[in-house]
Amino acid sequence: MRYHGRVIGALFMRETITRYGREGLGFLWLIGEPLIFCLGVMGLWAVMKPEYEHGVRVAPFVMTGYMCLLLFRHIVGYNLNALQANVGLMHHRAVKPLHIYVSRALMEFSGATVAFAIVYIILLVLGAVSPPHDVLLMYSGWLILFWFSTGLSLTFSALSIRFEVMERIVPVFMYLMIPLSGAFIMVDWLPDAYQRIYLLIPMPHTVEMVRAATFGEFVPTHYHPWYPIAWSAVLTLVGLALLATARRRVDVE
Amino acid sequence: MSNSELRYLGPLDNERGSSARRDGVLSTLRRIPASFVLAVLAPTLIAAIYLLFIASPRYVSEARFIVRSSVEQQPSSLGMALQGVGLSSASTDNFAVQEYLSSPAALQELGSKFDLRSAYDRPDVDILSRVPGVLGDDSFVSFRKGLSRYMTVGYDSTTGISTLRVEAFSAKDAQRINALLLDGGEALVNRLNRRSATDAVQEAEVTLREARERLNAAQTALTSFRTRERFIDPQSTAREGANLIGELAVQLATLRAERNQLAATAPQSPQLQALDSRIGAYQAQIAAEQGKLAGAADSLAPKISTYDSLMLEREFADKLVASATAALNTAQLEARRKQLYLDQIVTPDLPDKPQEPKRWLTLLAVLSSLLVAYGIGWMLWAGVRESRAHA
Repeated sequence: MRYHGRVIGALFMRETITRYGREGLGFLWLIGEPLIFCLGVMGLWAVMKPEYEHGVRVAPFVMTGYMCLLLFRHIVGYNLNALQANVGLMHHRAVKPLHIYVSRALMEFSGATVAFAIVYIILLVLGAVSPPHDVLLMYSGWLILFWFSTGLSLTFSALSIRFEVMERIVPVFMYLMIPLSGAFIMVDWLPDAYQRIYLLIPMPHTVEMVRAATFGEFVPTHYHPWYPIAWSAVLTLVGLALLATARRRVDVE
Repeated sequence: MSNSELRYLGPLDNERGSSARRDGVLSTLRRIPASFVLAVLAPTLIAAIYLLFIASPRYVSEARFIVRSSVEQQPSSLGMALQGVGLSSASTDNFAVQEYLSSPAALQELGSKFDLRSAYDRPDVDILSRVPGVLGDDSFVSFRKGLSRYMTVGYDSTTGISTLRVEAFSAKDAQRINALLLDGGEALVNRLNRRSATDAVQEAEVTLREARERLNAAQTALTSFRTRERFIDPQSTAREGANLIGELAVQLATLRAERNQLAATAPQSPQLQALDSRIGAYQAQIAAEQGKLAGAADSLAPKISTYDSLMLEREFADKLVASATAALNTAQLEARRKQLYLDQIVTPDLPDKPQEPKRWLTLLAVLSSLLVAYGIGWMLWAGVRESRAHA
């Protein structure tokens, strides 16, 4: 266990340094990048939209939605080519493909988490949002989203090792996920008939959990925690299975 | 860089390999950084002691109510979705009640009927849960601030149902405070009712009174005109004058014919002179009558125009009274129809078991939040250290 932890920790540090370099803020860009993105999008929305929409304040609405979308996109996006980009690392006996994926996912997770916390505190100071009504619900929503994104990224990455075409499909899929992720819409705004269909997608459940925790009981939310958990578990297993068979292909290269 | 890393990793492996199991546990414990103990473990321990042994149980009484008017129906959820915030007047009234319930005025009103301080500032309640508590002073403001965490008012925009939740240190208190607050809300709704009803009706009544005054004035002006000029209707007077002139003209024509005939048959007749004087008298009479109708200074023509405008004014005032009466009727009807009601769907319940604080869940929340905070702090610090080391 400790051995895996050390490998992942070392990969974590290596990745931050290769991606952001040592100059300037360096490592802090891991937090700064999502932070700036989120603040930018929030500023845009604040200018474009009225302060309240459907009885929900725009700033925390955009914050919760965009941070969730960002976490999802970063984990899936950066993991897609992680193995191909780090093929040299495979020469180390200690490093397994899973280490690379997990370290990248953890890295994005910690960056997004810190960014989320900072944005939340900024909004809190500005008085645009109240303290979370249910902290545990927020953590669980966020963690399930992390797990779901990691599981999906494992499956996608394993598939991309086998099929080159995945590199074309995944960006399209990610683009489709912008409206389908629940980041810029609340399930309750949809007519009843579409709500059920929309909730077949696992990701909105997690976003709704984070929102339910942020807004409290008087903003109606719809989610079932076990549904995205089941998806995450299945995706993780599928991803691991595919990776186990894909390992040989990478070694050959 | 790589050198120091190698040296760091090396001894750890050796130590782990050679030491006994108990030492391993000890060294693991010793390797927990002091900052972690200080920032996470110690606060969790304090929170655990407080939550599990000290915190006083709180009873929660919840009521649900709806503010509705008898005419407007609640907007459907699709309607809400389509029209945005969808502030119909019913939900505005809802917000008004909600706003009132969380206002100092409501609390003051409540305070006049119920001894809040004895319910929340009890010696058997732990010091942190007490209101105003450790930080607050004796003022009403700090008391209200402290109390606000025990009262929740919320409005569900899809169902239109509002919730009022009160926490107190005894079940009876919670229920009683909740019920009294709702009474205050109902009184507010009644005040709003009275206000909106009387406002519209009063306005209509004032309009009606003004219209009546105007009608009276017009009537008086007309009557005084008639008494002054000594006739009821100048139209008929004029008609009489015209008839008289007509008759006189007929007479005059007959006389002229008679005279012409006499002058033809007996030009020297002495009767001719008499006839001439009669014709002259008739002509003078016709001229006088015509002068009465028009032309002379006090002839009838200008009087008719005055009379006409007086009549017009009376007619106008008459119509005004009629419409003002109709408006008053509608206003009264509307006021009766636009009643607001505060309906209690769920009356405040009497809990038989304390529901707050949720000790273990709160403890878990504290621990996880501290972990997150520590993680964030660690990351930021690592980032700063990293960039400083290579600056």
